[in-house]
Amino acid sequence: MKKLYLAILSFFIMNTVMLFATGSVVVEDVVNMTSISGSTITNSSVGMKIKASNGTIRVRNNTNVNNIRNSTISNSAIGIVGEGGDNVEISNNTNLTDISNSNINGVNIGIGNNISDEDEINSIENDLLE
Amino acid sequence: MKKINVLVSGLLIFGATSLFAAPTAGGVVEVDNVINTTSVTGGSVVDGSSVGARITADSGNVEVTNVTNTTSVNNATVTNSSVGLTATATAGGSVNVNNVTNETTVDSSSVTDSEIGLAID
Repeated sequence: MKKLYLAILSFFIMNTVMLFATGSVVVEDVVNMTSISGSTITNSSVGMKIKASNGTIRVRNNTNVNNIRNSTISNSAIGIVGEGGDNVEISNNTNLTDISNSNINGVNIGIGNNISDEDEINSIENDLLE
Repeated sequence: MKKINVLVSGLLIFGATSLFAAPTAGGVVEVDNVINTTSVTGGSVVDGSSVGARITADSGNVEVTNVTNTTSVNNATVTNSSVGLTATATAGGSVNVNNVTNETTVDSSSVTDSEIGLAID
């Protein structure tokens, strides 16, 4: 009977742990290309936007290319942007943003993470930003 | 005493299983080996919509693997929408995106309050 209780207890603990392990976002080996020309972009994101209200965000080994021509972009983000998450890892990504003949106002360009005070960034490393 | 033990054990197993099932009530959404091409042209108006591919699992898991998604918006007005590839898992689900090529083109258009490219939530 002792063994039975032990088995039931293990089962209960295992499932509880699995319940709290959910909520993760993993983005790996992705090639994302965005081209914008002759357009007006407002309050938007261009490129890769990864958001998690809680849990883990991992963004690894991705290539993001943004080409913007003859456009007006305001109050937006261009590149790889992580938002939220308790543990954020953005590593080994290549982000290439090429802008010409455009009007850019109030825009975040590159690789970054918009987090609140209680969040933790584990690492943003080895990223190529041009 | 034996009956009580069996009853308690049964309640424990049922309780644990219910707890585990809750976050995966939406099940698993797997998108594998897909080529998707979407084009919006000719003065179109897109509002509160998704252009391209949108994969959603409510309380479940989203797996997107080996997908090529191409989205083109030309001469259109887009508001409160997503253009490109969007994967969403709500209520504590998980999203895994692996080996994906996503290409998005926006030309001669107006885009407001929207996501262009790859959006994972």
